[in-house]
Amino acid sequence: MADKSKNKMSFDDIQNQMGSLKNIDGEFGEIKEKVLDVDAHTTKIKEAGKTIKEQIMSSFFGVASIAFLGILAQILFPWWTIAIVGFWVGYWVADSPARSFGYGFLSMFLIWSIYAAYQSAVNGGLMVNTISGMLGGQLSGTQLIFATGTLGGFVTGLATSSGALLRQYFNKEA
Amino acid sequence: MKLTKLLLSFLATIALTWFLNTPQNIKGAPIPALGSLFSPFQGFWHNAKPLDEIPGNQQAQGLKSNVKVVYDDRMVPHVFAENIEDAFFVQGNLHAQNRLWEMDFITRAAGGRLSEILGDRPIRVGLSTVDVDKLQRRRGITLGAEKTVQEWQGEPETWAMVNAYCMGANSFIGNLDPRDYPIEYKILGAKPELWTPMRMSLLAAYMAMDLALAENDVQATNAKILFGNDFNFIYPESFPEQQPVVPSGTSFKSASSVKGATSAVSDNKTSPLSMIGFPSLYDDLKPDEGNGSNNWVVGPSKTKNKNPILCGDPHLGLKMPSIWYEMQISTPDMNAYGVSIPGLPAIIIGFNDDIAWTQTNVGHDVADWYAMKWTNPSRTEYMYDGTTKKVELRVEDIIVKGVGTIKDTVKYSVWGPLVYDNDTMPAANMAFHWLANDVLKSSIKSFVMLNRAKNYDDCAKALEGYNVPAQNFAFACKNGDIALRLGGIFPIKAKEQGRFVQDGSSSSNAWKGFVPKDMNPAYKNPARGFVASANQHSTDGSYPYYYNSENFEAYRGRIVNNLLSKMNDITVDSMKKMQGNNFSLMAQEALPTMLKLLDTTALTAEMKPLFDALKNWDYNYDADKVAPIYFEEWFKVFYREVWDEILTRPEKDRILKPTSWRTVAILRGDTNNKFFDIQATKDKKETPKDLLNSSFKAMAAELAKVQAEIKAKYPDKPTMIWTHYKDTEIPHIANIPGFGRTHIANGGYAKSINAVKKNHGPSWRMIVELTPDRPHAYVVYPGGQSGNPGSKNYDQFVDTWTKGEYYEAIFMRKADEKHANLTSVQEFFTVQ
Repeated sequence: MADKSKNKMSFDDIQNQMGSLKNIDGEFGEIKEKVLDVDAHTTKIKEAGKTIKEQIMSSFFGVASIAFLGILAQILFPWWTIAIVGFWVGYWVADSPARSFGYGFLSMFLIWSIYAAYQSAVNGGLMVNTISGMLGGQLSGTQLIFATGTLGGFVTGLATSSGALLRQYFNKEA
Repeated sequence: MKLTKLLLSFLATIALTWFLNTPQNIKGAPIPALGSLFSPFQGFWHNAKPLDEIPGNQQAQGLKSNVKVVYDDRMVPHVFAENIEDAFFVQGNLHAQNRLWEMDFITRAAGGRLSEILGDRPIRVGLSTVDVDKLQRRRGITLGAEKTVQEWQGEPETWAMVNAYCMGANSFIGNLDPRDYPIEYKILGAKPELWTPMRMSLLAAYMAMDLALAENDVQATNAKILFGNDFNFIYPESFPEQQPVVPSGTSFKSASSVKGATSAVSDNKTSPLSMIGFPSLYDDLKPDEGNGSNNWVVGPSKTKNKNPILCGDPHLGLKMPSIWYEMQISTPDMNAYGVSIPGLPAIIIGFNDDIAWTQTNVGHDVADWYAMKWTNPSRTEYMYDGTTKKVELRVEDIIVKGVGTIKDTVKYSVWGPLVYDNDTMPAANMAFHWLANDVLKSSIKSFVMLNRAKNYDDCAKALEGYNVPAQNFAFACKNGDIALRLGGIFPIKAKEQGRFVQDGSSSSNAWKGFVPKDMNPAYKNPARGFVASANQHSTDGSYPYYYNSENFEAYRGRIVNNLLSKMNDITVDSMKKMQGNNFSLMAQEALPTMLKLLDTTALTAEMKPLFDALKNWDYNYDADKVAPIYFEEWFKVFYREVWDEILTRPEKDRILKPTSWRTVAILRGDTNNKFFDIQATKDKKETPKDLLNSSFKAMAAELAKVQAEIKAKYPDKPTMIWTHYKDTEIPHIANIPGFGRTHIANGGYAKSINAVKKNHGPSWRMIVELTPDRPHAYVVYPGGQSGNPGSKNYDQFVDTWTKGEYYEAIFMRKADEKHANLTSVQEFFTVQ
């Protein structure tokens, strides 16, 4: 009897092993569920927004359209049309409001400060010195260029993020 | 939640954009629309033009033939046109191109339209832009300007030139993109206007205001009431040392030989009304009493090269941009070089191939006040020659930015407008009779004739049509003739008429007509070999007509005459030196007496160096000297102590201040004079010695304050030197900070030939030698050709002017002439 018992797994043993298999199976199940979860999450993200690469692309697209349309608008119309351009691009690019502000600000900051710096450079800094004198000599030429960029950037950034917010609002409604 | 965020963000964007696009007023400080101002596409950055930019060619509607403009390296345009209308068309365009803001702003100020661009803004305590606009209207400037336009219209030749000039200016203004507006418009949020004959006329009125509005009628009336019989002693109308513009001994035509000319009769009644304490807006809006100039011409007998040399330096308020724009205008029958006034055609001071001319101000009092006697409570009817007369009413609309239109009804009497119309003070109802409101102001034709003149006769003829502001015109001619002639129209007055406020109820107080122009004082080729003027008396007492001014210059004329009579073999260089002469005849006449009366034993160790500096001083107001500071401070205190009768009263009492010349003369002549007594010390009778010693002490004590002021202005190098004390500056015409020039290091003062004061002085220096081959001219003005503060040509000449250096003018004869300093060409093409 003793041999039999040696060669054959006891019922208990089998039962035990079956139990652990069941356990493994259970763990698998949990993992599986988790994997499914991640899948769903990725899909969710995909549905809602973009990959990081896409995000960079959309910001770049935003900067480029503001640069093109913004410069065109300011050549043809008064300066404040940058707000309209920003708003429209913000809506069109449909990025998050915060990132929209970022690329809106950046694009007009660059355009205004670079163009101001260029005009000042070919002028030998004469005008910027005069304006600095008018303001009581508190700001240097570089600071005036920075202030100029910030002003244009801020207006455009606010407008772009407003556009993005409007887009979000419509998306939710749909 | 998302909706709230959206709305907030949307509103913030709109609010910020609106805020940045609208001029703000924060605690009374006007702030320009920052977005428009900072935008590099349309704001101030856009006015930062490339340093090497040259003006481009233009198609010009209204031009008869093409016009070529050749620029030299100082951006002086040399205009070559086929006819005078085309020349003035292009001159108008160039003025607008370079000085649009200046011509626009001055004209608005003259026409009482400052509030339109500045809003209701305080100028000083108790005086706003609206007050100034009202005063301009009440002076009758606008009505007077309308009359001048009508007179221009009556002269077809003038009218054609006026219109050509306007068309030219508008060919620039009309096509101007708001982005290219001069920077001042962007800062003030204003827009330029098209140029019109009326605006030209207002500009001429501005010049007349600056040069022909010096009067002290109220002050003199008050002084006469205060001093009674002593009045003539303190304020003599002439003095023995004077050297008039037309030298004594020059014979004048007698009035009886000229038809319609009447001699002066002493039948004038001074108004009995006291003006003392009369509140006024007016005193600090009067022209600067230092408005004056030098001119002289030395004949061939006195010069090294045997050519006549003409020198001129008109003294005006120093402003950025300058009142002058240098240019040459050439047509087949004219080729004139000199300075023009942006907004008006022709060359105003300059030379051509054959002659040179330059002006100084005559300065006779041609603005009189008449006290009105109202006969009805509403003050619309007044007594005149025993009957009542009604005033005429003219409603003036004053547009005030941000407020709307204010209406002001101005009453006109037979004398002129009621500038002061105040029912609480009967004495303050005064009508204003100003010559410039009666007659043609800018005699464009006269200047065109001068620009074309070939000899002295042409010059004299040109002045026949010249009215105001009256000027001493000095002439040099290539043939060797030199001459000086008063240009202008002068009212015939009874003795002392117009010196005081007059009774407005009697026609006997009216001017008695005008002096015939060929009786204007003049002289030609005098034996002494030179002619000269510096705002002193026009003539000695032998001139048959009465004229008056409380501001005749007492020193500069004598300095010029003294120097020139001693000089021989004169060259351009010696004339340059003379124009920069800082010598003070007043100091030379006053200081020795002052030092003699000083008790040197009482001097402290601190006071001794002051005494030594004054004693060793050569009377030159040189930039690096300290003695002029001591002298000015000392004389200031001494003067205040001598005239305590006046100066202890409040400023608003408006008593005429005695001249420093008279004060010095009294000091030198009569040490017992009662005016040296200080009234406040009842038990003591002060002598000049007392005053000079006490004032010297006071001056020494005052110097710490002077030193502190200098330290505040020149923290890096606070030395006690004249230039730091005087601290000359050239402010911007609308006083925009940073747009002017400050801390200009130079010598000179009001009473020296180099009459540079705080912000007043030689606005143009010119020396012309008329050599047989071509005129050689040396010129400079404290400014630059461009009105754009972001241009290198904005203040290009200031340093040269400060150093007393000159540029040699390039006098061209043909448009294709070669010269090393010619840099670019701008062409104006007709539109077919």
